[in-house]
Amino acid sequence: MRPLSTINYIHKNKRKLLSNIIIIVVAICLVYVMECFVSSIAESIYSLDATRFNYASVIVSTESVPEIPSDIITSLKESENVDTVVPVTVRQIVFSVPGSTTHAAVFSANSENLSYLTDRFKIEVSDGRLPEDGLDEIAVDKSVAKNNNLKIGSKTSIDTSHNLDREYTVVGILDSDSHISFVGSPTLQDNTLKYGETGYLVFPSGGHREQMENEVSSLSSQGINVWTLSLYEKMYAKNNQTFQILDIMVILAIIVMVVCLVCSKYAQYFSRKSEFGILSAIGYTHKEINKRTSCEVIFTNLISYALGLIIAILISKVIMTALFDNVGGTGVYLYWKAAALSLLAPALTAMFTLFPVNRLIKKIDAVSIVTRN
Amino acid sequence: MNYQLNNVNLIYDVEKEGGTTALKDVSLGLEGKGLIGIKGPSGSGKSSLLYLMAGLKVPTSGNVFYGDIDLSTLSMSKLAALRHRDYGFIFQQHFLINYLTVLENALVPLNINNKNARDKALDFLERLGVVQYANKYPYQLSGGQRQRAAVVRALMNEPKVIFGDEPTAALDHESACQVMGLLSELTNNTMVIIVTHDESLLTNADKLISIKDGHIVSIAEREGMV
Repeated sequence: MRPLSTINYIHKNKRKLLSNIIIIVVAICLVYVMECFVSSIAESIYSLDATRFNYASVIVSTESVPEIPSDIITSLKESENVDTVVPVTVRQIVFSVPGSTTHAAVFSANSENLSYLTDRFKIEVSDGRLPEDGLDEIAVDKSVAKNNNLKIGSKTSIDTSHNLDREYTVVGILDSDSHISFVGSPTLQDNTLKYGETGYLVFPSGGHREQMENEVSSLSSQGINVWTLSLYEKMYAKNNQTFQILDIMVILAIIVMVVCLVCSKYAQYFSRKSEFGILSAIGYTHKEINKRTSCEVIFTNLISYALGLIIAILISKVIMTALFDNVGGTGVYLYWKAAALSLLAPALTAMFTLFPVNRLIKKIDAVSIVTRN
Repeated sequence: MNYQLNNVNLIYDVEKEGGTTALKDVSLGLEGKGLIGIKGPSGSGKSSLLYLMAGLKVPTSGNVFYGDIDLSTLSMSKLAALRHRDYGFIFQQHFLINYLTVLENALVPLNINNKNARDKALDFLERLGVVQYANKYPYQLSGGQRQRAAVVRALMNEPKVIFGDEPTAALDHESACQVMGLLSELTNNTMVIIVTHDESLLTNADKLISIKDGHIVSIAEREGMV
């Protein structure tokens, strides 16, 4: 090993290197895990709420339009953009992940339509059966069941828009990416149904989803509550702006950490002034000395990044699995944005170390160092 | 190797009013090999003269020729390359790199670590009586042992000229004589220029330059020396 090689320096200064690496690794882990946590919240909510709109849009009665007029339904049925319109009752079941609580959709429909819906939403009954018409039974989505700790035979209450709790017995577990659950009651003929509890699922004809969504969206001007994928994504994007504040805070935290670390790293290099002085005196150019210190800095930060990323991914996998996957959510642990933000810590540290150290070496006067007593 | 200094002036802080004159109108010619001593009282300019000749300082005016090369015309990187190739340095302090072993410190000028280089370094270390410390770190050695290791470092690139600025100041008399003995051995092939207060170390000098207040006051050849 050449005496002035980077490897030899690192080999001879393991403790110093380790202390530098640990600080950067901790910073990377914090940033990465935090970003994964936020992304897991967003992903869990998005996949629960949004995916069903890929299959169908929903229109729901409102206080101003307690019953959706039949001419609207007829015109939708006749539209070339619409394949089918299915009447349903609309319920919700709570779905909580750390940092957020939302509601998953629960529909009831008559038995013929129920089998059509399972087909269109690509729902498989993984355990038990579908609920029977008129009975207080529920076939619950697998993720929602996990989230609410439900099994076949469990009892659960379902929220309505009017806060009228009703207890249901779990008779089936459903598996689909739309995360829809079905109940047997109330049926569409139930006189107790109020506004907000009835509506229609509007399925697009092949390749006409966007046109169908435009058509359905226009109904909101008539006072009907409308949910389509594009409307949901607009709302989701708006909510995501909150997460951008977190990104800014993460970047600020990284900068503060970098300033502290750079000060300590500069002090380390400053204490090597006489080493640089003697190297300069015996004939190493400033460029050669700079190259050597640059290699040390870059190598340290690259090692820190690689190590930090591996540890951060492992920690994230453990944490996100426990907090999200195990409760039916979506745990994110491989996340490019988190990896990119984490890169800021070693990149800024390297950059802000190299500039002052290069300046320090450039300013070194070999004679003043070797004549120092 | 020949040195020729023509009307060399060296003024520190020349941009400030009343800068300090270290050397004034120094003209000097040195030829071939041998041990050259530079003596003078503290602040007389002897170290400045040494560092001018070593290319570590640039004269304010005048020329320093090393062979055919005018050092004052060379860029900093060319001067560094020249020092690396042709010169060896021993300073008042050892300036060994603390995290490298004695052997690795000796290899620093070459920055290679093959068998030939190691054998060469071990041979010098043996001649200076510190070979048993080859794998020790400088902080594990006494002052004298460190300085001897620094001498080995100065010899590793087979320099044409060795510059010593009070190289034995940190050593006891016995160690100082041992170092000077080794340097004297080298004068068969090398020019060794030593700045020292201790005139007794220069008894074998082939040429003794006396400096006072930035002027060369005398140059004594061996024959003329007492």
